[in-house]
Amino acid sequence: MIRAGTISLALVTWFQATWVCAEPTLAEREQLALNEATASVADSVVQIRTVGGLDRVGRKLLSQGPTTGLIVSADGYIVSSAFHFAGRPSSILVQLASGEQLAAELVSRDKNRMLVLLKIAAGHDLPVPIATPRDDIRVGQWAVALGRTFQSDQVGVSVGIVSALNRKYGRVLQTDANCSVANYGGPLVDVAGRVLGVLVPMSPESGGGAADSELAGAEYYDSGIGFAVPLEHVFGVLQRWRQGEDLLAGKLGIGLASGNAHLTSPKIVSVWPDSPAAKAGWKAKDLITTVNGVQVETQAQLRFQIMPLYAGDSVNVVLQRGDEQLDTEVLLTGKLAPYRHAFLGILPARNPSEADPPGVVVRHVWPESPADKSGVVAGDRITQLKATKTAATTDARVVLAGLHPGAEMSLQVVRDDETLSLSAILSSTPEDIPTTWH
Amino acid sequence: MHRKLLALLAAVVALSTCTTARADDLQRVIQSAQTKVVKIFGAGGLRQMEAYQTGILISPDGHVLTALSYVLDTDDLAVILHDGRKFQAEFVGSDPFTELALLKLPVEGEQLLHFQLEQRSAALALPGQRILALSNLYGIATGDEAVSVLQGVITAIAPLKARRGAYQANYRGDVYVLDAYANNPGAAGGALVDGQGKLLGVLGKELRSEVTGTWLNYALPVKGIASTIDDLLSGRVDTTQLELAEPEDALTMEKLGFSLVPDVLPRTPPYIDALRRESPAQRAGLQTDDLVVFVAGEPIDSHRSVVQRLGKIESFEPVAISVLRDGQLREFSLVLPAIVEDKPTDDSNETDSDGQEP
Repeated sequence: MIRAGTISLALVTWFQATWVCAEPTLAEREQLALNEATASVADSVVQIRTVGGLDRVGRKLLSQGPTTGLIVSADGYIVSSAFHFAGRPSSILVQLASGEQLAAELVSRDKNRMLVLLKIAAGHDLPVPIATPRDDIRVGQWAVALGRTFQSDQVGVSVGIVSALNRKYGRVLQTDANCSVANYGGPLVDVAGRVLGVLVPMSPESGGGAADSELAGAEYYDSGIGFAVPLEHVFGVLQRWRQGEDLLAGKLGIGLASGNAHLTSPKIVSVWPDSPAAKAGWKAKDLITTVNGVQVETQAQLRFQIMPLYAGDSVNVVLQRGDEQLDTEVLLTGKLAPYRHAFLGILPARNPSEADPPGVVVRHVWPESPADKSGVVAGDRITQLKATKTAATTDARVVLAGLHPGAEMSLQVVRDDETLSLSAILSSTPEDIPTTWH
Repeated sequence: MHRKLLALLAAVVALSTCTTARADDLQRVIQSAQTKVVKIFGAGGLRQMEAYQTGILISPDGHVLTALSYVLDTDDLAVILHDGRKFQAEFVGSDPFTELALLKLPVEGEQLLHFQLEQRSAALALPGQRILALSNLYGIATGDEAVSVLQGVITAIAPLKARRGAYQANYRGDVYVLDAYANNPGAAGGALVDGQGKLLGVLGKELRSEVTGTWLNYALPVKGIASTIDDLLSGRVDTTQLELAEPEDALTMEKLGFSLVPDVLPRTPPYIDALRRESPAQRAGLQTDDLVVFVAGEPIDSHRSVVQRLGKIESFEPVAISVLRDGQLREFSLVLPAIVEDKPTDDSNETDSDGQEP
């Protein structure tokens, strides 16, 4: 018994040894795994060519070569980077991995993540890749960036790792694989052959706000800093996106105090008239404390909660107003009405002294202005606008900043020790120069 | 007992041979490759014109392959080996098409380690394959130091469509596009090797891709340059390849009988504006307002590219033109009649842009 046992043990050892010998090296195994991961997604990667359109946007020369896209639905929806469509091309052609050429139309744009959605009518089901669940993505894991720019019959490959998650205020993940025109719009693939995200250029420096163009960040190509919008997110918004309406960054319509966003508290300085914030009843001096159940203590933390959201998204915000906690629901908008100054028509006294009683002393009244029409005269001391006490000029400015031309505003003025209640309908800033001052 | 011992012994032998064969693989490969890459110091030194580059040993007698550049334009060409030995190199010859040059080191009574051109007959390596790029980029290695090593993968195999300013690369064949930053100043002439240290290609000069508009990292594959290397080694240099064959009587839109909307923009979309009656274009089925997207299988992105593409085709050759019409891709084959009898001299029989009915 003992003898048989030892022999079989020895055989096992021998088999293990030969197995170890036949086993490829770590480098070979990694190569094999990366090749397999690439192959499992390659058929979902398409080549995109555009015809016509601008050759430059601003001073940036656009690339003329083909670019890359990723199939996201079996019935022909393809996602790509907005970078390729900055030139507003007149026609779009898509070449599938099989070589089949099809005309494509641009369905809509995602202006918050710089993506576009295209549609082709292939007449047969297209291969849709699997998205890596966001919770499974780890910094340091393999990440393979694929493109179909250099060749139409083979995908271009660049290998790196996931460098960071939740970059650019929670909208993209970061990789050190080479990202450039050669693969913008293509997938960033994990070693299991699932798609982590869609590669897009984004400027690592800017806040990534609405001011960013489709081209921002492209100058960081192949730098070890690349970004990808999680595919899970793309799948999440696809139903809404394919309706054909552009996805816009969601805006609140508030002004915050200037200063270091990482240190300054999210205290509201001004609320844009008719903005989502105004409709939710927000007021200047309110402090934002919680967004969608997450506590925010700085302006940067507030941005992390708001920037990933789109116009049309609803967000729950808790405000601190004095000792009061206000629970509000805000429906974000894509476009704020252009801001127009509300005009009252007074010039406040220069250099008010501390010894003066509180209020804004009127030095001049603009003829035919709302103030003039309401009965304000030079020498009046304005002590209250709407429901706000105006101890100094800055208080009056805050009230006016929150009002539109056309809004009605009550005033309290002190004239010869008498308090008068007046009412003015604000106008827009006049363009004529008055001939006489009252 | 005897059998058990034998089995154990076999196991131990198997284990030991396996492990020794694989230990320090990468390090050994790099060290071996580095001894075959040399540093070249020559002319230059002005701004953006570095006075150095890289070369690879391709014969035991000291033949060095490198990039043809201004660096070689001097009588005092210094080549330094990995161990610091310095030679004054002799310029043997160059090929303007691949822009490669051959140097010879005055080596006597010694067999230098050198790269084999064994990949000349092998299939090209595939995208995704890991590579090492060895060169003296930025001239960091100066004395008895080995050149720098970068690791990465092959991104793509694609024709070299690249330029630097007004200069355009002559070589238009397939190159290895890399995801390592291999092509920096001084890297030209360096080695691209695989995980076993086999020479896959020679690093090229710094160029911008015309496809992406970005700086390109690439290497000329051994397969594409092996015959040039043979010619250089044997003293034969063939420069006739430089003259690209231009058609004697090229196709034009006029000959095919269509015109496009006027070329007013850098990327004017090539919409068909008018068709001549009974012309090859009209008979093939092209219509006004068709958008031309392929000519002879090549993608078209503007009015200009249609003109250029037709200019490369002999007029007796049939040409396939694909157009977009109502969102559908349609292909037509156009061919000129064998003998053009009465070539129209005026536009009187040209239809207007509204219709193409005869």
